[in-house]
Amino acid sequence: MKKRWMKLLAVAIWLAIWFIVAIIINDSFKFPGPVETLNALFGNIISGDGFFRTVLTSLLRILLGLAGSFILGLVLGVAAGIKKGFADFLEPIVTVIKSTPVMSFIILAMIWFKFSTVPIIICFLMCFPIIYSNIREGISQTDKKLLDMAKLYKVKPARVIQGIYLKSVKPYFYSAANICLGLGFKVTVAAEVLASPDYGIGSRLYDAKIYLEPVEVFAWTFVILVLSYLLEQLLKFIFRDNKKGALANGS
Amino acid sequence: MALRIKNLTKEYNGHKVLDNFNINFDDNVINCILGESGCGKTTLLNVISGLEDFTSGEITGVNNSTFSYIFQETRLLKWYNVRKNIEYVLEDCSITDKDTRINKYLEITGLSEFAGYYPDQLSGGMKQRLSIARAFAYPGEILLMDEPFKALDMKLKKELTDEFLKLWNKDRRTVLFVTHELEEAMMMADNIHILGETPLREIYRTDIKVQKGQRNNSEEEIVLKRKLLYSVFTGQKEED
Repeated sequence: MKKRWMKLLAVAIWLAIWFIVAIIINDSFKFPGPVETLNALFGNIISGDGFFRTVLTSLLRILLGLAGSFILGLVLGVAAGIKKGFADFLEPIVTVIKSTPVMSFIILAMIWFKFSTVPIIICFLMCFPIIYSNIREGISQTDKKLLDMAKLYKVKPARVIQGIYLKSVKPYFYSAANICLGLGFKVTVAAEVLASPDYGIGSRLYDAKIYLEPVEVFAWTFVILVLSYLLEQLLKFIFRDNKKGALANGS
Repeated sequence: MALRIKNLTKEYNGHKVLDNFNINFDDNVINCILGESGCGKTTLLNVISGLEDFTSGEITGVNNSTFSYIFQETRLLKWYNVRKNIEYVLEDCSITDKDTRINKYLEITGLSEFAGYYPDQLSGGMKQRLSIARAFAYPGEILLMDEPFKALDMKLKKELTDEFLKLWNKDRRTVLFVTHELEEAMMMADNIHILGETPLREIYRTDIKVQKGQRNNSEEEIVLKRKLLYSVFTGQKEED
Protein backbone atom coordinates (compact mmCIF):
# COMPACT_ATOMS: atom_id res chain seq x y z
CA MET A 1 0.00 0.00 0.00
CA LYS A 2 2.83 2.33 0.99
CA LYS A 3 4.60 1.52 -2.27
CA ARG A 4 1.51 2.49 -4.26
CA TRP A 5 1.30 5.83 -2.46
CA MET A 6 4.98 6.45 -3.16
CA LYS A 7 4.37 5.82 -6.86
CA LEU A 8 1.41 8.19 -6.93
CA LEU A 9 3.47 10.78 -5.10
CA ALA A 10 6.25 10.46 -7.69
CA VAL A 11 3.71 10.97 -10.51
CA ALA A 12 2.27 13.99 -8.70
CA ILE A 13 5.72 15.54 -8.24
CA TRP A 14 6.57 15.18 -11.94
CA LEU A 15 3.20 16.64 -12.92
CA ALA A 16 3.94 19.57 -10.62
CA ILE A 17 7.36 20.02 -12.28
CA TRP A 18 5.66 20.00 -15.71
CA PHE A 19 3.14 22.53 -14.42
CA ILE A 20 5.89 24.82 -13.05
CA VAL A 21 8.03 24.58 -16.22
CA ALA A 22 4.97 25.50 -18.32
CA ILE A 23 4.37 28.55 -16.08
CA ILE A 24 8.02 29.60 -16.39
CA ILE A 25 8.02 29.25 -20.19
CA ASN A 26 4.67 31.01 -20.24
CA ASP A 27 3.88 30.13 -23.84
CA SER A 28 1.08 27.55 -23.96
CA PHE A 29 1.31 27.37 -27.75
CA LYS A 30 4.94 26.10 -27.72
CA PHE A 31 4.89 24.29 -24.40
CA PRO A 32 1.42 23.47 -23.06
CA GLY A 33 1.11 22.60 -19.38
CA PRO A 34 -0.97 19.78 -17.87
CA VAL A 35 -4.09 21.95 -17.66
CA GLU A 36 -4.03 22.89 -21.36
CA THR A 37 -3.23 19.32 -22.31
CA LEU A 38 -6.15 17.91 -20.31
CA ASN A 39 -8.43 20.62 -21.70
CA ALA A 40 -7.42 19.66 -25.24
CA LEU A 41 -7.82 15.98 -24.44
CA PHE A 42 -11.30 16.19 -22.95
CA GLY A 43 -12.42 19.31 -24.82
CA ASN A 44 -11.43 18.43 -28.40
CA ILE A 45 -9.94 15.00 -28.77
CA ILE A 46 -12.13 12.60 -26.77
CA SER A 47 -15.34 14.39 -27.64
CA GLY A 48 -14.25 14.91 -31.27
CA ASP A 49 -15.17 12.73 -34.23
CA GLY A 50 -13.68 9.27 -34.45
CA PHE A 51 -11.65 9.30 -31.22
CA PHE A 52 -12.50 5.73 -30.25
CA ARG A 53 -12.12 4.50 -33.80
CA THR A 54 -8.69 6.16 -33.99
CA VAL A 55 -7.56 4.67 -30.69
CA LEU A 56 -8.99 1.23 -31.40
CA THR A 57 -7.45 1.12 -34.88
CA SER A 58 -4.00 1.93 -33.48
CA LEU A 59 -4.50 -0.54 -30.66
CA LEU A 60 -5.56 -3.23 -33.10
CA ARG A 61 -2.47 -2.61 -35.26
CA ILE A 62 -0.21 -2.84 -32.21
CA LEU A 63 -1.90 -6.03 -31.02
CA LEU A 64 -1.70 -7.62 -34.48
CA GLY A 65 1.98 -6.70 -34.81
CA LEU A 66 2.72 -7.98 -31.31
CA ALA A 67 0.69 -11.17 -31.83
CA GLY A 68 2.59 -11.94 -35.03
CA SER A 69 5.96 -11.33 -33.39
CA PHE A 70 4.98 -13.32 -30.28
CA ILE A 71 3.75 -16.34 -32.25
CA LEU A 72 6.61 -16.47 -34.73
CA GLY A 73 9.21 -15.48 -32.09
CA LEU A 74 7.97 -18.22 -29.79
CA VAL A 75 7.88 -20.97 -32.42
CA LEU A 76 11.21 -20.08 -34.02
CA GLY A 77 12.82 -19.26 -30.65
CA VAL A 78 11.88 -22.67 -29.22
CA ALA A 79 13.13 -24.45 -32.35
CA ALA A 80 16.38 -22.43 -32.40
CA GLY A 81 16.93 -22.97 -28.67
CA ILE A 82 16.63 -26.72 -29.09
CA LYS A 83 18.50 -27.02 -32.42
CA LYS A 84 21.69 -24.98 -32.60
CA GLY A 85 21.92 -25.52 -36.37
CA PHE A 86 18.54 -23.87 -36.86
CA ALA A 87 19.65 -20.91 -34.72
CA ASP A 88 22.75 -20.54 -36.92
CA PHE A 89 20.54 -20.62 -40.01
CA LEU A 90 18.28 -17.82 -38.67
CA GLU A 91 21.09 -15.71 -37.23
CA PRO A 92 21.88 -13.64 -40.41
CA ILE A 93 18.26 -12.62 -41.04
CA VAL A 94 17.66 -11.78 -37.36
CA THR A 95 20.84 -9.68 -37.30
CA VAL A 96 19.74 -7.84 -40.46
CA ILE A 97 16.30 -7.07 -38.94
CA LYS A 98 17.90 -5.94 -35.67
CA SER A 99 20.45 -3.66 -37.34
CA THR A 100 18.33 -2.07 -40.05
CA PRO A 101 17.05 1.41 -39.11
CA VAL A 102 13.30 1.48 -38.52
CA MET A 103 12.96 4.32 -41.04
CA SER A 104 14.34 2.10 -43.83
CA PHE A 105 11.72 -0.51 -43.02
CA ILE A 106 8.92 2.06 -42.89
CA ILE A 107 9.86 3.54 -46.27
CA LEU A 108 10.17 0.11 -47.90
CA ALA A 109 6.90 -1.05 -46.35
CA MET A 110 5.16 2.08 -47.66
CA ILE A 111 6.36 1.16 -51.14
CA TRP A 112 5.39 -2.48 -50.92
CA PHE A 113 2.21 -2.56 -48.77
CA LYS A 114 -1.03 -0.69 -48.13
CA PHE A 115 -0.48 2.30 -45.82
CA SER A 116 -2.91 0.92 -43.26
CA THR A 117 -0.88 -2.29 -42.88
CA VAL A 118 2.55 -0.61 -42.71
CA PRO A 119 2.37 0.03 -38.91
CA ILE A 120 1.49 -3.64 -38.26
CA ILE A 121 4.46 -4.85 -40.29
CA ILE A 122 6.81 -2.38 -38.60
CA CYS A 123 5.59 -3.37 -35.13
CA PHE A 124 6.14 -7.03 -36.04
CA LEU A 125 9.63 -6.42 -37.48
CA MET A 126 10.82 -4.42 -34.48
CA CYS A 127 9.43 -6.79 -31.85
CA PHE A 128 10.13 -10.16 -33.47
CA PRO A 129 13.95 -10.17 -32.94
CA ILE A 130 13.50 -9.31 -29.25
CA ILE A 131 10.95 -12.07 -28.64
CA TYR A 132 12.93 -14.57 -30.71
CA SER A 133 16.27 -13.83 -29.02
CA ASN A 134 14.83 -13.96 -25.51
CA ILE A 135 12.95 -17.19 -26.13
CA ARG A 136 16.00 -18.80 -27.73
CA GLU A 137 18.14 -17.72 -24.79
CA GLY A 138 15.55 -19.01 -22.29
CA ILE A 139 15.35 -22.37 -24.04
CA SER A 140 19.11 -22.79 -24.18
CA GLN A 141 19.30 -21.91 -20.46
CA THR A 142 16.75 -24.58 -19.53
CA ASP A 143 18.08 -26.77 -16.72
CA LYS A 144 19.54 -29.88 -18.35
CA LYS A 145 18.99 -31.81 -15.15
CA LEU A 146 15.23 -31.34 -15.47
CA LEU A 147 15.40 -32.53 -19.06
CA ASP A 148 17.32 -35.62 -17.93
CA MET A 149 14.66 -36.23 -15.28
CA ALA A 150 11.93 -36.05 -17.94
CA LYS A 151 13.91 -38.33 -20.27
CA LEU A 152 14.37 -40.89 -17.53
CA TYR A 153 10.68 -40.89 -16.67
CA LYS A 154 9.91 -41.23 -20.40
CA VAL A 155 7.90 -38.02 -20.61
CA LYS A 156 6.76 -37.39 -24.20
CA PRO A 157 8.52 -34.59 -26.15
CA ALA A 158 5.37 -32.44 -26.48
CA ARG A 159 4.97 -32.41 -22.71
CA VAL A 160 8.67 -31.76 -22.17
CA ILE A 161 8.22 -28.62 -24.30
CA GLN A 162 5.03 -27.67 -22.48
CA GLY A 163 6.07 -28.64 -18.94
CA ILE A 164 9.76 -27.73 -18.91
CA TYR A 165 10.89 -25.61 -21.87
CA LEU A 166 7.95 -23.20 -21.96
CA LYS A 167 7.85 -22.88 -18.18
CA SER A 168 11.59 -22.17 -18.03
CA VAL A 169 11.20 -19.60 -20.75
CA LYS A 170 8.38 -17.72 -19.01
CA PRO A 171 10.57 -15.06 -17.30
CA TYR A 172 12.44 -14.46 -20.57
CA PHE A 173 9.13 -14.18 -22.41
CA TYR A 174 7.77 -11.75 -19.80
CA SER A 175 10.85 -9.57 -20.05
CA ALA A 176 10.63 -9.54 -23.87
CA ALA A 177 6.89 -8.85 -23.79
CA ASN A 178 7.44 -5.95 -21.41
CA ILE A 179 10.03 -4.37 -23.72
CA CYS A 180 7.90 -5.03 -26.80
CA LEU A 181 4.78 -3.40 -25.38
CA GLY A 182 6.54 -0.06 -25.04
CA LEU A 183 8.48 -0.45 -28.26
CA GLY A 184 5.38 -1.67 -30.15
CA PHE A 185 3.52 1.55 -29.29
CA LYS A 186 6.44 3.75 -30.29
CA VAL A 187 7.16 2.15 -33.66
CA THR A 188 3.51 1.64 -34.62
CA VAL A 189 2.70 5.27 -33.96
CA ALA A 190 5.90 6.35 -35.75
CA ALA A 191 4.90 4.27 -38.77
CA GLU A 192 1.41 5.78 -38.66
CA VAL A 193 2.91 9.28 -38.62
CA LEU A 194 4.84 8.52 -41.81
CA ALA A 195 2.28 6.35 -43.60
CA SER A 196 -0.61 8.47 -42.33
CA PRO A 197 -3.43 5.95 -42.84
CA ASP A 198 -7.05 7.17 -42.46
CA TYR A 199 -7.31 6.25 -38.81
CA GLY A 200 -4.58 6.00 -36.17
CA ILE A 201 -3.03 7.96 -33.35
CA GLY A 202 0.05 8.56 -35.51
CA SER A 203 -2.10 10.08 -38.25
CA ARG A 204 -3.61 12.49 -35.72
CA LEU A 205 -0.09 13.38 -34.52
CA TYR A 206 0.80 14.08 -38.14
CA ASP A 207 -2.26 16.37 -38.43
CA ALA A 208 -1.18 18.17 -35.27
CA LYS A 209 2.24 18.74 -36.83
CA ILE A 210 0.68 20.07 -40.08
CA TYR A 211 -1.64 22.45 -38.21
CA LEU A 212 1.05 23.38 -35.64
CA GLU A 213 -0.85 22.23 -32.57
CA PRO A 214 1.65 21.10 -29.92
CA VAL A 215 -1.13 20.81 -27.36
CA GLU A 216 -2.72 18.06 -29.47
CA VAL A 217 0.64 16.29 -29.66
CA PHE A 218 0.82 16.38 -25.87
CA ALA A 219 -2.76 15.16 -25.54
CA TRP A 220 -2.35 12.25 -27.97
CA THR A 221 0.93 11.34 -26.29
CA PHE A 222 -0.98 11.24 -23.02
CA VAL A 223 -3.46 8.82 -24.62
CA ILE A 224 -0.56 6.60 -25.74
CA LEU A 225 0.93 6.62 -22.24
CA VAL A 226 -2.39 5.61 -20.68
CA LEU A 227 -2.92 2.78 -23.20
CA SER A 228 0.64 1.58 -22.76
CA TYR A 229 0.22 1.57 -18.97
CA LEU A 230 -3.06 -0.37 -19.22
CA LEU A 231 -1.50 -3.00 -21.48
CA GLU A 232 1.47 -3.31 -19.12
CA GLN A 233 -0.93 -3.94 -16.22
CA LEU A 234 -2.73 -6.55 -18.32
CA LEU A 235 0.59 -8.26 -18.99
CA LYS A 236 1.45 -8.22 -15.28
CA PHE A 237 -1.96 -9.74 -14.54
CA ILE A 238 -1.44 -12.52 -17.09
CA PHE A 239 2.02 -13.34 -15.71
CA ARG A 240 1.10 -12.92 -12.05
CA ASP A 241 2.54 -15.41 -9.62
CA ASN A 242 -0.39 -17.54 -8.54
CA LYS A 243 1.34 -19.56 -5.87
CA LYS A 244 -0.77 -20.05 -2.80
CA GLY A 245 -0.09 -21.42 0.62
CA ALA A 246 2.04 -20.47 3.54
CA LEU A 247 5.69 -21.32 3.86
CA ALA A 248 6.26 -24.71 5.32
CA ASN A 249 8.53 -25.24 8.22
CA GLY A 250 9.81 -28.46 9.64
CA SER A 251 10.81 -31.44 7.57
CA MET B 1 16.27 -60.81 -15.23
CA ALA B 2 19.13 -59.60 -13.04
CA LEU B 3 21.17 -56.59 -14.08
CA ARG B 4 24.65 -57.48 -15.33
CA ILE B 5 27.42 -55.21 -16.52
CA LYS B 6 30.24 -56.69 -18.54
CA ASN B 7 33.49 -55.03 -19.65
CA LEU B 8 31.92 -51.59 -19.59
CA THR B 9 34.06 -48.66 -20.66
CA LYS B 10 32.98 -45.04 -20.59
CA GLU B 11 35.19 -42.25 -21.85
CA TYR B 12 34.83 -38.46 -21.74
CA ASN B 13 37.11 -36.81 -24.28
CA GLY B 14 39.59 -39.66 -24.10
CA HIS B 15 39.51 -39.79 -20.29
CA LYS B 16 38.29 -43.13 -18.97
CA VAL B 17 35.79 -42.96 -16.13
CA LEU B 18 34.79 -46.60 -16.38
CA ASP B 19 37.38 -49.01 -17.67
CA ASN B 20 36.45 -52.60 -18.49
CA PHE B 21 34.12 -52.57 -15.55
CA ASN B 22 32.13 -55.61 -14.40
CA ILE B 23 29.39 -55.86 -11.79
CA ASN B 24 26.27 -57.94 -11.12
CA PHE B 25 23.29 -56.73 -9.16
CA ASP B 26 20.68 -58.79 -7.35
CA ASP B 27 16.99 -58.41 -8.15
CA ASN B 28 14.53 -56.88 -5.71
CA VAL B 29 17.12 -55.93 -3.12
CA ILE B 30 18.88 -52.71 -2.28
CA ASN B 31 22.28 -52.87 -3.96
CA CYS B 32 24.60 -50.24 -2.58
CA ILE B 33 27.58 -48.97 -4.52
CA LEU B 34 30.01 -47.47 -2.06
CA GLY B 35 32.90 -45.39 -3.32
CA GLU B 36 34.77 -42.17 -2.81
CA SER B 37 33.48 -38.92 -4.29
CA GLY B 38 34.30 -38.50 -7.96
CA CYS B 39 35.02 -42.18 -8.61
CA GLY B 40 32.32 -42.39 -11.28
CA LYS B 41 29.32 -43.64 -9.32
CA THR B 42 26.90 -41.15 -10.88
CA THR B 43 28.26 -41.91 -14.35
CA LEU B 44 27.60 -45.60 -13.70
CA LEU B 45 23.94 -44.89 -12.82
CA ASN B 46 23.53 -42.59 -15.81
CA VAL B 47 24.94 -45.21 -18.16
CA ILE B 48 22.69 -47.92 -16.73
CA SER B 49 19.61 -45.70 -17.06
CA GLY B 50 20.47 -44.68 -20.61
CA LEU B 51 20.94 -41.00 -19.75
CA GLU B 52 24.50 -41.34 -21.02
CA ASP B 53 25.95 -43.56 -23.72
CA PHE B 54 28.88 -45.84 -23.05
CA THR B 55 31.96 -46.41 -25.15
CA SER B 56 32.03 -50.21 -25.12
CA GLY B 57 30.83 -53.20 -23.13
CA GLU B 58 27.52 -54.79 -22.40
CA ILE B 59 24.63 -54.15 -20.05
CA THR B 60 22.04 -56.90 -19.76
CA GLY B 61 18.82 -57.10 -17.81
CA VAL B 62 17.66 -53.58 -18.60
CA ASN B 63 15.98 -54.15 -21.97
CA ASN B 64 12.69 -52.25 -21.99
CA SER B 65 13.06 -51.65 -18.26
CA THR B 66 11.63 -48.53 -16.76
CA PHE B 67 13.61 -46.57 -14.21
CA SER B 68 12.79 -44.35 -11.31
CA TYR B 69 15.52 -42.04 -10.09
CA ILE B 70 16.02 -40.22 -6.83
CA PHE B 71 18.61 -37.62 -7.64
CA GLN B 72 21.11 -35.87 -5.44
CA GLU B 73 19.37 -32.57 -6.19
CA THR B 74 15.64 -33.13 -6.13
CA ARG B 75 15.00 -32.01 -9.75
CA LEU B 76 11.47 -30.87 -8.99
CA LEU B 77 9.53 -28.57 -11.29
CA LYS B 78 9.23 -25.41 -9.23
CA TRP B 79 6.28 -24.12 -11.27
CA TYR B 80 4.16 -27.17 -10.38
CA ASN B 81 2.80 -27.97 -6.96
CA VAL B 82 3.57 -31.17 -5.07
CA ARG B 83 0.74 -33.20 -6.63
CA LYS B 84 1.42 -31.94 -10.14
CA ASN B 85 5.12 -32.84 -9.83
CA ILE B 86 4.14 -36.48 -9.41
CA GLU B 87 1.34 -36.24 -11.97
CA TYR B 88 3.80 -34.89 -14.54
CA VAL B 89 5.87 -38.10 -14.66
CA LEU B 90 2.77 -40.31 -14.59
CA GLU B 91 0.80 -38.63 -17.37
CA ASP B 92 2.38 -40.66 -20.17
CA CYS B 93 2.25 -43.95 -18.23
CA SER B 94 -0.33 -46.60 -18.87
CA ILE B 95 -1.34 -46.77 -15.21
CA THR B 96 -5.00 -46.76 -14.34
CA ASP B 97 -6.28 -44.65 -11.49
CA LYS B 98 -3.34 -42.31 -11.23
CA ASP B 99 -5.07 -40.17 -8.61
CA THR B 100 -5.34 -43.04 -6.14
CA ARG B 101 -1.70 -43.90 -6.73
CA ILE B 102 -0.59 -40.31 -6.17
CA ASN B 103 -2.70 -40.04 -3.03
CA LYS B 104 -1.22 -43.27 -1.71
CA TYR B 105 2.38 -42.11 -2.02
CA LEU B 106 1.63 -38.60 -0.80
CA GLU B 107 0.11 -40.14 2.28
CA ILE B 108 2.96 -42.57 2.92
CA THR B 109 5.52 -39.76 2.64
CA GLY B 110 3.43 -37.43 4.82
CA LEU B 111 2.86 -34.91 2.05
CA SER B 112 -0.92 -35.16 1.67
CA GLU B 113 -1.62 -31.88 3.39
CA PHE B 114 1.09 -30.16 1.33
CA ALA B 115 -0.23 -31.37 -2.04
CA GLY B 116 -1.00 -27.79 -3.13
CA TYR B 117 2.37 -26.38 -2.07
CA TYR B 118 5.11 -25.48 -4.51
CA PRO B 119 8.68 -26.78 -4.13
CA ASP B 120 9.95 -23.32 -3.10
CA GLN B 121 7.56 -23.48 -0.17
CA LEU B 122 8.93 -26.79 1.11
CA SER B 123 11.91 -27.51 3.34
CA GLY B 124 14.86 -29.56 2.03
CA GLY B 125 13.58 -32.72 3.71
CA MET B 126 10.09 -32.32 2.27
CA LYS B 127 11.49 -31.78 -1.19
CA GLN B 128 13.44 -35.01 -0.93
CA ARG B 129 10.31 -36.77 0.36
CA LEU B 130 8.49 -35.54 -2.73
CA SER B 131 11.30 -36.84 -4.90
CA ILE B 132 10.96 -40.24 -3.17
CA ALA B 133 7.16 -40.20 -3.58
CA ARG B 134 7.57 -39.39 -7.28
CA ALA B 135 10.07 -42.22 -7.75
CA PHE B 136 7.79 -44.77 -6.08
CA ALA B 137 4.62 -43.52 -7.74
CA TYR B 138 6.28 -44.04 -11.12
CA PRO B 139 6.21 -47.73 -12.01
CA GLY B 140 9.96 -48.02 -12.56
CA GLU B 141 11.24 -51.56 -12.28
CA ILE B 142 14.69 -50.37 -11.24
CA LEU B 143 15.08 -47.55 -8.74
CA LEU B 144 18.30 -45.56 -9.00
CA MET B 145 19.41 -43.42 -6.08
CA ASP B 146 22.31 -41.01 -6.37
CA GLU B 147 23.28 -39.91 -2.86
CA PRO B 148 19.81 -38.52 -2.28
CA PHE B 149 20.39 -37.67 1.38
CA LYS B 150 23.79 -36.07 0.92
CA ALA B 151 22.72 -32.50 1.64
CA LEU B 152 20.65 -33.35 4.71
CA ASP B 153 21.64 -33.29 8.38
CA MET B 154 22.12 -36.55 10.28
CA LYS B 155 18.73 -36.51 12.02
CA LEU B 156 16.82 -35.91 8.82
CA LYS B 157 18.95 -38.40 6.95
CA LYS B 158 18.05 -41.09 9.49
CA GLU B 159 14.38 -40.12 9.35
CA LEU B 160 14.24 -40.26 5.56
CA THR B 161 16.22 -43.48 5.40
CA ASP B 162 13.73 -45.12 7.76
CA GLU B 163 10.81 -43.78 5.72
CA PHE B 164 12.40 -44.95 2.50
CA LEU B 165 12.91 -48.47 3.87
CA LYS B 166 9.31 -48.56 5.12
CA LEU B 167 8.13 -47.55 1.66
CA TRP B 168 10.43 -50.00 -0.08
CA ASN B 169 9.25 -52.87 2.12
CA LYS B 170 5.71 -52.20 0.91
CA ASP B 171 6.76 -51.88 -2.73
CA ARG B 172 9.94 -53.85 -3.38
CA ARG B 173 12.01 -53.11 -6.46
CA THR B 174 15.60 -53.51 -7.50
CA VAL B 175 17.45 -50.55 -6.06
CA LEU B 176 20.89 -49.30 -7.08
CA PHE B 177 21.98 -46.86 -4.44
CA VAL B 178 25.25 -44.99 -4.68
CA THR B 179 26.90 -43.27 -1.76
CA HIS B 180 30.31 -42.42 -0.37
CA GLU B 181 29.13 -42.76 3.22
CA LEU B 182 29.71 -46.03 4.97
CA GLU B 183 27.05 -45.34 7.61
CA GLU B 184 24.43 -44.63 4.97
CA ALA B 185 25.33 -47.79 3.07
CA MET B 186 24.95 -49.82 6.23
CA MET B 187 21.59 -48.28 7.02
CA MET B 188 20.18 -48.92 3.57
CA ALA B 189 21.75 -51.81 1.76
CA ASP B 190 21.16 -55.52 1.43
CA ASN B 191 24.56 -55.87 -0.13
CA ILE B 192 27.41 -53.47 -0.63
CA HIS B 193 29.74 -53.18 -3.60
CA ILE B 194 32.86 -51.22 -2.83
CA LEU B 195 34.35 -49.44 -5.79
CA GLY B 196 37.98 -48.67 -6.42
CA GLU B 197 39.66 -45.47 -7.48
CA THR B 198 38.98 -43.77 -10.80
CA PRO B 199 38.77 -45.19 -13.38
CA LEU B 200 36.44 -47.80 -11.97
CA ARG B 201 38.22 -50.99 -12.76
CA GLU B 202 37.15 -53.44 -10.15
CA ILE B 203 34.87 -54.12 -7.31
CA TYR B 204 36.74 -54.83 -4.17
CA ARG B 205 34.00 -56.84 -2.63
CA THR B 206 30.70 -58.12 -3.79
CA ASP B 207 29.88 -60.57 -1.07
CA ILE B 208 29.16 -58.27 1.81
CA LYS B 209 25.64 -58.91 2.98
CA VAL B 210 24.35 -56.56 5.62
CA GLN B 211 21.40 -56.48 7.92
CA LYS B 212 19.61 -53.26 7.05
CA GLY B 213 19.33 -50.73 9.83
CA GLN B 214 22.22 -52.18 11.86
CA ARG B 215 22.67 -49.10 13.94
CA ASN B 216 22.96 -50.47 17.44
CA ASN B 217 26.75 -50.56 17.85
CA SER B 218 26.50 -54.28 18.39
CA GLU B 219 29.57 -56.45 18.11
CA GLU B 220 28.38 -57.66 14.66
CA GLU B 221 28.04 -54.11 13.44
CA ILE B 222 31.51 -53.16 14.61
CA VAL B 223 32.98 -56.23 12.92
CA LEU B 224 31.16 -55.47 9.69
CA LYS B 225 32.26 -51.86 9.75
CA ARG B 226 35.84 -52.93 10.27
CA LYS B 227 35.62 -55.30 7.31
CA LEU B 228 34.15 -52.64 5.09
CA LEU B 229 36.71 -50.06 6.09
CA TYR B 230 39.50 -52.55 5.53
CA SER B 231 38.21 -53.13 2.01
CA VAL B 232 37.78 -49.44 1.30
CA PHE B 233 41.31 -48.60 2.36
CA THR B 234 43.25 -51.62 1.10
CA GLY B 235 41.22 -52.76 -1.84
CA GLN B 236 41.38 -56.27 -0.49
CA LYS B 237 39.02 -58.62 1.20
CA GLU B 238 39.80 -59.12 4.84
CA GLU B 239 39.98 -62.76 5.79
CA ASP B 240 37.47 -63.79 8.42
